[in-house]
Amino acid sequence: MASTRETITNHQEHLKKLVVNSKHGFTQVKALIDYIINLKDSQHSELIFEKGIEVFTQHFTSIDDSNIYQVEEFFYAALEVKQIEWAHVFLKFISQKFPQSVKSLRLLAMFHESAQDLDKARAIYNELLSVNANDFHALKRLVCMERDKGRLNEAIGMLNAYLESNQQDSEAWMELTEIYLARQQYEKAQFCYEEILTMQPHNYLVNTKYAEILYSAANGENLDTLYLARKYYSHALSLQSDKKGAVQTRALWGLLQTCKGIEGLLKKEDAKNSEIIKTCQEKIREVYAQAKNGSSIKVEGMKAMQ
Amino acid sequence: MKQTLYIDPRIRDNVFVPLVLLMVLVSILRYFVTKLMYSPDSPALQKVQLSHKTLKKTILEREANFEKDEAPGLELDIPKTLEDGVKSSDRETNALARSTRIRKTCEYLPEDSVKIRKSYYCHAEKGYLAKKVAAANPMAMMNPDMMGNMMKQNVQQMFNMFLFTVIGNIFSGFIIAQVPFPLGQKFKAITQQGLNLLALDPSYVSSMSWCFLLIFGLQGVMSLILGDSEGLDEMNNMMMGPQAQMMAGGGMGGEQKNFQALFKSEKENYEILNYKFKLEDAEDAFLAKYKK
Repeated sequence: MASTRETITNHQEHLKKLVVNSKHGFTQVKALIDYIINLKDSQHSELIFEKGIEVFTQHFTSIDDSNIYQVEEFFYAALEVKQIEWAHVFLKFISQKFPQSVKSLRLLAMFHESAQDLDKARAIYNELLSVNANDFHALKRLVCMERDKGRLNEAIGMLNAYLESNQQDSEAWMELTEIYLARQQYEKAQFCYEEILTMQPHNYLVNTKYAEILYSAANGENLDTLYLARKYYSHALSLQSDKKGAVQTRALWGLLQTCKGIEGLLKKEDAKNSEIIKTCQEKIREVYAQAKNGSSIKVEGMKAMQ
Repeated sequence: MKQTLYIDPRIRDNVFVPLVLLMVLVSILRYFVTKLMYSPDSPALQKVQLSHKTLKKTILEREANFEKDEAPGLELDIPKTLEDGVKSSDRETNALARSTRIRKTCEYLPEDSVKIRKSYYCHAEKGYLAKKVAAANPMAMMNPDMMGNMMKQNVQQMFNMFLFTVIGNIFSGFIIAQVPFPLGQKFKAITQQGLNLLALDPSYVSSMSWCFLLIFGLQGVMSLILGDSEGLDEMNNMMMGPQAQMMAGGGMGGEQKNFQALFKSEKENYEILNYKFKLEDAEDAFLAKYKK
């Protein structure tokens, strides 16, 4: 599938073509669903769900072992669009094929979670975990349930215990970062996000987000942290190409804001800082002038630009 | 000196054809036996039975295990479960991998963050790398998994032994074919196993050697017959026996690493770590790139 991904330049159009094609038969529907699964894009849940109903109502006899994974995808889509009855149908189909499998049980728990039957879901996850402590899918669902209920302390406890035994899981570090950010514990969030940074030190978004966390941790009064934030914003921007259309604005605004903060704390002229501020402002003006609806955003009026 | 031997056509009918047939049949048989013995070990396919208490009033209620009484229900001490349940070797491997990753990319982290992590790993008493890891358990050989594996390997070995004995007893000592090009004397060991004729030209192939050639040469034919090349590869790995597996995997599956030694070397790596912050000049790089 990797090769097709590279050769297709316009995904939107390709998707439209596949949707039109999918009216012709089961193979075309399968191709469409495979394509969406490969895109790893959750915004197509409705489409998948629709096709799932179509498959179950029109091509039910054609479903065999080779496309059970698509039924699983229908199930997730049904949960996402909150169509519990259909989710039940899909789940029943899977669990008849694979009774007593861990995955069916996990799906069952997700089903109950979605139906707001949280106790039942929790009981299943708990027992799965006690049978096999390496079942990190179940653990992650438990963390999500705690987070959903706003019991952040419990979620943090579980994630900490999990990370103790699996220090390489970037997803878990990311989740922990988000929780700490939600609680405005920026130093802890910084520590967790550093793990992501070491995994992808050349990623523009990761660097930008790390700089944002540093900026928030500085709280407008810690000069050293602000300097660090300035470094990471600059680094993120120098990773990005200077071509038109490259994503830069988020880091540019951040850098500008950080430099303003530094200027305010220093209370005296710093040549380098002023230079960065000037460069940022110019770049921001340039980017917004080039944008299609740039004229509707009044950049000049913003406080940071003065 | 050019020898010409006329091979009796009865050898073709009574040795050559049965030998090829036998090898094909044995390959097919072995394929299915391996498939039976090495059922996939994917955790997603593992069967699990939950207690009836947990599955009450769900659509999988019928699959529940009615005998099982204890279920954690809503209360489960997760930190403790993980502490007890996760294999120690998994945990240490992950910790080492993270430590290596941090060392390799530490230039992109601020100095304080590197120091925190260094002390987490290398603190003299409380550091992660200073902790005692239980040495490889000698009783590991006794656990059912290991025993099962060893037994399976032995069965494979027996299979090979049996095959070679049968061939050696029934089909040995025939000259079966001639390769259509001249070969040097050194090839005698390959083409004429089971024959002890010094004067014979090495381009003649004995039945024993033909059998070996078939073992390797039939793979293509087998994947055509069975239409499953992956399974065949796996089977061949098994067939090579534990020696080949040991070479490929760096030790048998169940063997445990010596974490104490790995920890020690990792600690030394931290001591020689030469930290230099890569982003010291990030602002200048930014200005150089974006300044008009």
